Amino acid sequence: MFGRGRKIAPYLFISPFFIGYAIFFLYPVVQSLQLSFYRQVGLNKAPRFIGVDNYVRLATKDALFIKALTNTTYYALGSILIIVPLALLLALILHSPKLRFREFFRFLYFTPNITAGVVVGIIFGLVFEEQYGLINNLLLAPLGLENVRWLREARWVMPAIILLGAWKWTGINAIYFMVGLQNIPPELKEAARVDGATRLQVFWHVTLPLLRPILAFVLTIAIIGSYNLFAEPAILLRGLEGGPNNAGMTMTMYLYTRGFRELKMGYASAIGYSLAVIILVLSVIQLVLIRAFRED
Amino acid sequence: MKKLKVLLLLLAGLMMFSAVAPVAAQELELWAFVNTHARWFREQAERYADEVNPDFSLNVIEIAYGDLHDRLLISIQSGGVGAPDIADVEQGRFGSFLRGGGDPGFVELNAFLDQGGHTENLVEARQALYTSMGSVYGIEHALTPVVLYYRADVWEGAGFDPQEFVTWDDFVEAGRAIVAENPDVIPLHIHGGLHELLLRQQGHDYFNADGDVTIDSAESIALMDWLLALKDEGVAGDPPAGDALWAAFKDGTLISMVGADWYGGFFKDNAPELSGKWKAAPLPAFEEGGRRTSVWGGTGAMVVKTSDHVEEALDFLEFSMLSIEGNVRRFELTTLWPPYIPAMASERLHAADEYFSGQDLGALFADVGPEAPPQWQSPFRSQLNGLRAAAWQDVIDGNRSPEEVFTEIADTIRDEMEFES
Amino acid sequence: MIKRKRLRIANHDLPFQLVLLAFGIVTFFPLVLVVITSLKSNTQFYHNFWLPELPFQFGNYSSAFRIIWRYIVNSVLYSGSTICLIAMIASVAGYVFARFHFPFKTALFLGFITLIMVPGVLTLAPRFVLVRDLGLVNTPYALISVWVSGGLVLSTWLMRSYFESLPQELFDAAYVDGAAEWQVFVYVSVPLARPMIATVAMTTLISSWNDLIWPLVTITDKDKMPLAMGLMQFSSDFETDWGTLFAGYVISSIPLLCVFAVAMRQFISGLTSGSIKA
Repeated sequence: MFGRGRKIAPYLFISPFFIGYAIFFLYPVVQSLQLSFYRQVGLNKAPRFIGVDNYVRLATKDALFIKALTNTTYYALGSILIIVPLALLLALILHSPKLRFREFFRFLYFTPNITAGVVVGIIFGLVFEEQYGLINNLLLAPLGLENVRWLREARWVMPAIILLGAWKWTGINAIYFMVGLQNIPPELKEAARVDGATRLQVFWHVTLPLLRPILAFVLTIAIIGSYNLFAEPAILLRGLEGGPNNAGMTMTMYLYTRGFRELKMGYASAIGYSLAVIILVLSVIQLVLIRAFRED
Repeated sequence: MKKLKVLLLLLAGLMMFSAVAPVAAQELELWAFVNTHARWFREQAERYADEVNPDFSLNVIEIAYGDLHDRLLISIQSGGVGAPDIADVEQGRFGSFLRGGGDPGFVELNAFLDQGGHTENLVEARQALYTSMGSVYGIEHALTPVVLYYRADVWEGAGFDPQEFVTWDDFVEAGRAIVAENPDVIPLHIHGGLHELLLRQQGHDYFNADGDVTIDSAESIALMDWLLALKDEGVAGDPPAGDALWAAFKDGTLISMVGADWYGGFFKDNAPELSGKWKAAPLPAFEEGGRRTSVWGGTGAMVVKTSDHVEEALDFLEFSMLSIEGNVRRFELTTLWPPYIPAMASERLHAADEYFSGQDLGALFADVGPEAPPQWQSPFRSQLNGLRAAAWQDVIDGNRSPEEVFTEIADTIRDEMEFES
Repeated sequence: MIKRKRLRIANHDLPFQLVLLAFGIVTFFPLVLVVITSLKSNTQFYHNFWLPELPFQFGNYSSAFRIIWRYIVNSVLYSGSTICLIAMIASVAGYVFARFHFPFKTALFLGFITLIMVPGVLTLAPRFVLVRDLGLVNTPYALISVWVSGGLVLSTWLMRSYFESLPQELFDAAYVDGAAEWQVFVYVSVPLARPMIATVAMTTLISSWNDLIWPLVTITDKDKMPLAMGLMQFSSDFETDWGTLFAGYVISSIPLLCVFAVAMRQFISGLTSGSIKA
């Protein structure tokens, strides 16, 4: 472009990036693939090649893997269904031009996101506590509803974690949406209004389609976040088993157990790879659904 | 550039930081996961420094149960980086150190114990928990005899004396009468370890001496069915764990606890206000003349192989864990009944315990101790415990039958054993 | 006339304010509870779970601080180094990807960007083996190296799209004045990219500061733990002392709260400047 005859310079400049990336990211990714075809229990014993046995076992015999996968998917869907509409609503309000205290509210909604996972886990332990807990006492009791055994009944565990997730992630997603709204040129909306469209029609036909890329971003982050969920449920449910019937065992908790408690390094790598494939497929489906592909 | 300065400053700080990492000359580090143990170790270290080696100092670090074992396992897998010199390892988690080759990363103690003449002095059934293929890796803290702790005021007030119970039928009958008077009370607390320890009282376990899984045995299933029937009747129950559990003890919902010696120390720590209200009795037997106790839990002190102070650590353990004074003092502080036979005769084990209504707990433990059943170690024990813990609430709530769940767990473990062989 | 107009605005505003406030209460209530609990003794806590009780136990804060400061210092050092390294490497790499043309540029870029979907846990086991073989277990470098390489992908992507969006004329003037490429980078590009660098710094800050699982498998020494992990240790240190425990939680939240209270506007303006248009 500038015609200065630099041949090696660009490569030189990006080399720190690539070296760091290659050693601590790419190499483990490749190494992981190799390890996934081996049986290695503990690090002080020679690995043994076993072909695709790890994968076969995962798909056909490992009920806990399926459980963790179902749980994580449940969480991803549940939290997205709550977070996205809420965040969108908040963003629309926060974006409205004449709002007072905007800065204050923005900061307020952001605070859960920067609270440490351990703290969030402990707080929600109190929120969902059976006898003294916040929800049972201050929300359900006044309505005359019976106490819910949030953390001891398998079917309530995941809803509890989803509520936790919604609490933690709605605010930051509202900010993402707000940023998206700010990037929509006001002329577009004005033009539609001039053409006689109602507020709702403008939102539905102008605003929402333009928010698609942001929606894609938010969903991608949510999916990745779901598969990384670890600290909050581990603390909330007092252990990596994920509470009753493993109902709150997320993928990361499962992988940690297999890899670092049972020391099955090869098996853990196979889990990781299966996971990567699943996430990739999910993300592609999600992108296709949103049809964000036409962007680039 | 400001940014660059900040960066250099940070990097410099970081380097200094790692350089200054404390490496005191004679300081040993010890990890423990219960505060009662930690307290005792600190006291013993002081005594050791006073009497034997004035340069000795021990940094006792308390780490949560799960966290301690996870971190220890990782650091041993990494060649001992960041590992302590001595660690308390719970018997239920010791198995995971045996995975992947059999060398758990702790100092083999056979020679040390033989030379000191300690092997015969330790209760063999307890040491078996820390033994793999003939090598001993740990020294047990407690014999862990299980007794029936009960609220004397409540039971005696209702006209029953649990000291007189001979069989579980006696207990259940009395429990029924109490519940008939006051339906909110739970006479038998079905805690996470109850099934396991009652199974051992009957002479069975989740694993047998050969290392086979036996959680799905007919006895194990029948026992769980029995506990569930008691729960349906209202004689047994399962209050929530954690702080709510102690609240239930304090407000009088829970009026008994089938627990090991160490549970006595838990009571004193977590419910000091109930002092003077508790007593303890031998476990009711399953049939007349049957065994009146069981074992539950247990923790071994181990020396990490990569420690720079193995000799010093062993000396200290000999001084504290393999001495009459150390064992007796531990009982006084934590109600852990010594697994060290010479200490069992000490008069000081028989002091009146105020918390337990002036009772001589030592006499009770000494009485039932010799009947304590053996317990077998397996590299798969912690995995089995994990599976069981997850299914537990479903079984308790009656969503799934014990037979179905226990068979499933046993099959999973058998399959794991085969896959790894 | 004027009066009526003002009234209309206020009316218009009110329902919105109420919705925001309702969400605000739900969001903030649990955090307020942390503060309330942090000022209680154990007896007060068991006496009354949810409401403040007098006298306030400010002593909880000093006992918590004595333990927690170490973890905070650690996290500041670890996350700080990570942020500086990422900011430097990513802005250089992003600049090169955005403004240079060289063979395989697109292929290289796409090659690594596809891996952005790979979650960190995928490589947890082999990464641990690697870090162990390099002798980095239980050193800050285990954390920093992995956080830097993990965060680089997104950061470089953000920096690249930012530099691409800058108009060519901004650079031309400098070239005409005879500036070398590095001068253009340091004196023109970096100052212009400040909002985006702030955004990169803050996303890196959140993700490294709150990462638990990686420290959990690489740090074994209490004195070297970052805050996220230290809080676990702290929780077991003060398991039965709720006031001190929660005082520690409050103290541990202060650094990030301060950063974001000050830099929230920067963060959002970075995001707005086109970064998350995908």
